Amino acid sequence: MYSEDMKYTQEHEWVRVTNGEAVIGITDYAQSEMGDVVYVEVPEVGKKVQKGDILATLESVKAVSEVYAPISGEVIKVNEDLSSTPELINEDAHGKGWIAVIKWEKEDDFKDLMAATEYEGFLKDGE
Amino acid sequence: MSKRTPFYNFHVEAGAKFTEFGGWGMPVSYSGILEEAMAVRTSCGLFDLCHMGEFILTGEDSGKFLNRVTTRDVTKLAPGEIVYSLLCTEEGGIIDDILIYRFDDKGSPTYMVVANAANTSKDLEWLMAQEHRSEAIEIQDKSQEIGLLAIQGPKSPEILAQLTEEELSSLTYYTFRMMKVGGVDALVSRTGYTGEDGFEIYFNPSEGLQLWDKLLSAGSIIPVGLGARDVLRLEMGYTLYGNDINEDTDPLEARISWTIAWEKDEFIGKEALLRKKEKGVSRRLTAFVMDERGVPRHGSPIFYEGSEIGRVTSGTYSPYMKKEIGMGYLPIELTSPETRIEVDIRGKVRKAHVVKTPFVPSRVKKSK
Repeated sequence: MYSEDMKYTQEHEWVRVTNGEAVIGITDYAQSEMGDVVYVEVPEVGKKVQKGDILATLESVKAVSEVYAPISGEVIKVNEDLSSTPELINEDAHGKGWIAVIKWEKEDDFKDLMAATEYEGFLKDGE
Repeated sequence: MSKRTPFYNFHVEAGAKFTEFGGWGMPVSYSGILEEAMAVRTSCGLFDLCHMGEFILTGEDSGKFLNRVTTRDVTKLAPGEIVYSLLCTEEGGIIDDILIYRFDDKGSPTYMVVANAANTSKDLEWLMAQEHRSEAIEIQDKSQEIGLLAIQGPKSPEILAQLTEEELSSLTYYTFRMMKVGGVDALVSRTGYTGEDGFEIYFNPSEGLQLWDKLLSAGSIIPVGLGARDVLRLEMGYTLYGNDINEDTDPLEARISWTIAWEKDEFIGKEALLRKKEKGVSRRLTAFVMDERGVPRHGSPIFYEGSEIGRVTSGTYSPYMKKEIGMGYLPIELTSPETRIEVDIRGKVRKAHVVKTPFVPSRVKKSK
């Protein structure tokens, strides 16, 4: 379920890093907790975010959830498909349901992110 | 610790997510709110409504009593018939919205009142307080002994037909009959809160737990939680007690004044409601559809030309319309369809417009 090529946050975001770019989404656990996502507010391309800033907002039928930037940097791409098909988050949270790509700045930002096994342990502890 | 219905373990087994509602731990969804809501519109859904309150009223004066404490004319109710009615304060505020069932008069007149879960103890206390000493009436809280499952959706008649010998086409909207369902003695009424054809099945839960599995294996039917129930009722523009109506709202502004039998000599709240009617209401519960994306939530401010004019009482995403919808009390002059309004969703003002309810055409089979 939780791939080793991604890092995870306590707020249930995932980050996949490839050459200076970080793809960000929410974890399968998070989508399952939220239920059907019906609306996704993605950031504007070019927006600069600090680690911990609100990056996106997801609305399910029952609730609103914020997605926080797991790292600082500039938003260089957003998943436009989510505006017409927000259900991609539920159907494929770790793939087609990605939210944004950030050009990251500081290597340090990655230090406190969790590896897959750590995240799985974190989920278990929360049960 | 919240109360659990007798079907709690069935919900856990079905993979339900739970929510707190009116003091009860209730399933909010199983397979997903949107899928469940659409199943009710296209096929059939099974709801556990054991949290609802049921009172049995007996005695020579029970009809007279109900006529005094509720807004409808209960004397017009024949055995086997049901009405939707309201309990109001002297000031005309809504204490609860209820269903009244009239039983066959075996011995003395008997009625069942079905109350909202969160209001059950409040209603019971209030009803008891309205009894006159001279009246021959007994009110019993049977909420623990009466279980309630609902099946709702176009396929519900064929699903119920598999579990009963009874002929169902003569069981018309807002009537009920006693019958065996899956071997269980039950009261079955053609009622619901979804805008679809369907039934509500009352029974003794200690004898009727097998009904859950029997209904689920009778065809295209899935369990549906309170999340989808809220979507379905809002698509119909039905009010939800606690969200859209409460003691600070009255039936006139809530657009349910059709429940008031003005011709009755007296009922609690009549004088205040008559005065309101003569004066005319200043605000009315009004439905709207969002033109910009974002889900309106209970409490979201509503604007007209930059001024706040009200708050959202209920809002959701409608899977049937594929749009966000909502309701709120708006000044009477701003309630005509197509009026352009705005809703503040998470600090951003988004466009919406007023519409008539229901949002989605109702398919209940009204015979009268």
